[in-house]
Amino acid sequence: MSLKAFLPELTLVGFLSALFLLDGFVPKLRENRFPLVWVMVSCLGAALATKAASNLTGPFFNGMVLSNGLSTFFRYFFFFSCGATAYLTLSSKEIDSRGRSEFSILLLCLTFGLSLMALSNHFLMLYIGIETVSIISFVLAGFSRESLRSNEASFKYLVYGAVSSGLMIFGISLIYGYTGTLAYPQIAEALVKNNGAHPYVFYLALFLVYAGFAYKISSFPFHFWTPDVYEGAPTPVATFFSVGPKAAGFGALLHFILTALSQKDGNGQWTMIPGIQLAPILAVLSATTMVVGNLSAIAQTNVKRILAFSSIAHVGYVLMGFVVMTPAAFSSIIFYLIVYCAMNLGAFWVVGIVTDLQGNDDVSSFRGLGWNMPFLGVCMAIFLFSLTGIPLFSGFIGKFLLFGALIQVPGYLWLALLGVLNSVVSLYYYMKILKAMWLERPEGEVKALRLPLTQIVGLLGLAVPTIVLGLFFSPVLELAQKWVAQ
Amino acid sequence: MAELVPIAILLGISLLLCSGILLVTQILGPKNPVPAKLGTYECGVKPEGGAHIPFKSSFYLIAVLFLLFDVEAAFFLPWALVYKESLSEGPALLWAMLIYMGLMAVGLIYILRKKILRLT
Repeated sequence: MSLKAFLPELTLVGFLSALFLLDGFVPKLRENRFPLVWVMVSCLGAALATKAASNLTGPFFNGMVLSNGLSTFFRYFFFFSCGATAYLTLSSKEIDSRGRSEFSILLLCLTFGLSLMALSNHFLMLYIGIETVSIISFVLAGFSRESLRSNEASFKYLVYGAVSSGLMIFGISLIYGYTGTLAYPQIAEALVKNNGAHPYVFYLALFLVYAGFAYKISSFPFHFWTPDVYEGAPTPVATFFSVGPKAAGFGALLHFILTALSQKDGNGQWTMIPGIQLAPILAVLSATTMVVGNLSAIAQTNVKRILAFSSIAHVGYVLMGFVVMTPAAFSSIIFYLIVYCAMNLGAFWVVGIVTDLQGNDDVSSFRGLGWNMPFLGVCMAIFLFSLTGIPLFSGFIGKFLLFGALIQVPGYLWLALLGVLNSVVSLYYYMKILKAMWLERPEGEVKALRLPLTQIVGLLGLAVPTIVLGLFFSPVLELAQKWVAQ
Repeated sequence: MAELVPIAILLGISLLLCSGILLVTQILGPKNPVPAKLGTYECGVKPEGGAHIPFKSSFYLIAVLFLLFDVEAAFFLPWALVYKESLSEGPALLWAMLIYMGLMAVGLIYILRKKILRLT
């Protein structure tokens, strides 16, 4: 039973081991793009296995890992984003033939770690998942070994990672002292029994544990690494970092809050265990995260840094869904993650193409690109409009659902209003990129390039959902509701 | 709240002690900055060359691999202890260990093929 429910991850590990052996015995394979194609095939295989295993719900491996609808969603999400990252790396110049197999191997390992993290039902499993993801992330961030910026990114990531996982494991030890167990369901039982005794210890422990989550989702006050790492890491790596580990952090946080801190009553509603007040704390964290992200983005001139701060702001929006514990809020979180995946992957993809073309990723290198490469310019416009949350694009629906779920519960109107105001602020820095692309003249000679067919197909594959989900979103939303209810 | 008072007192005393010692050394300590004193301390010998040089670290990988396979061996012992009892519930534990050993074998083959153990 346990191994059957773990089939998607086992499939991934099988493909991964095969890639290890193939790379060891046939060194020529790295000359062409075989390893990356292999990653896409493995993600496809793992997604099929997810479909096969999706009806096996409940805890397995002695309660270490939890499989439910949310797990199914997060597995699909990770396998898709990993496959998409491999696809966009096909034509990247930053990951060349010297590092292609290692990159592919690390990407698959990372995806495995993400899956473990989001499925964990036990603090030990969670910690192992987070460390698996972190250690591989450090290597990937420093993947361009000749580039000083990349090395710096890796080192900064390592230092922040060490601090936050140290804090987290201290928090876990406090929780162990408070409840006498590390398994989420037993923690919930012990919390019911403790009935809110010694709140200082408990909230201190929760805050320290949140340090680990916040580092992974890059929420305030553990977001400082994000811009430096995204800027320094090779663009395909930054692309994956902005989607995969973030979603894994949200998955782990969702499982933790739903299994360890709340109870499910008969009609599918979750309520916090009596004596625990998380909503105001999460509301403040959400508000500060989006304000800090948006205000810091305004002054940036590097597109990757802008997108990094924008991703922090988006984390703030998603955290709004955690404030109200309704199924509607959870399904809108899932919907938002899907939409965010499409538009953010797309935006980073365009940045990757421009970086390969111009040699740097400042806003100035985007000047005039819209007129020279209209397809690229239009795609970037779609992604950025959607990230802003302008109506007709899917980002609007995502935000609309989140704000809508939030104002159902009295007392949090201010947070929703702050979210709307922040969207207005974000318009400024997204438009800065679009202004450079369409309204400014390039300096010196005009560089343009005919995009290869793979790039066009890939960008269309992300731009079309970004628009379609803004107009015709109910099937995906219903799917999200099904996953939440399961 | 009352039970937290001793902790608060401890925190206060340690803060006072730390800042006090730092402050006293700042005020009373003799300040005599000579070049030898400000330079890098290298076991008493005059420092030579820059600190940011690439150096060969071929044994580092061996150390990492040793750690890895050492931990692997540590996993076998508790497994061997519970293996016999678990057989009554089916061969799941056997499969789990076989998968684990297979993964380790893949890693070992990769290491050998990449010639990491060859130090020259």
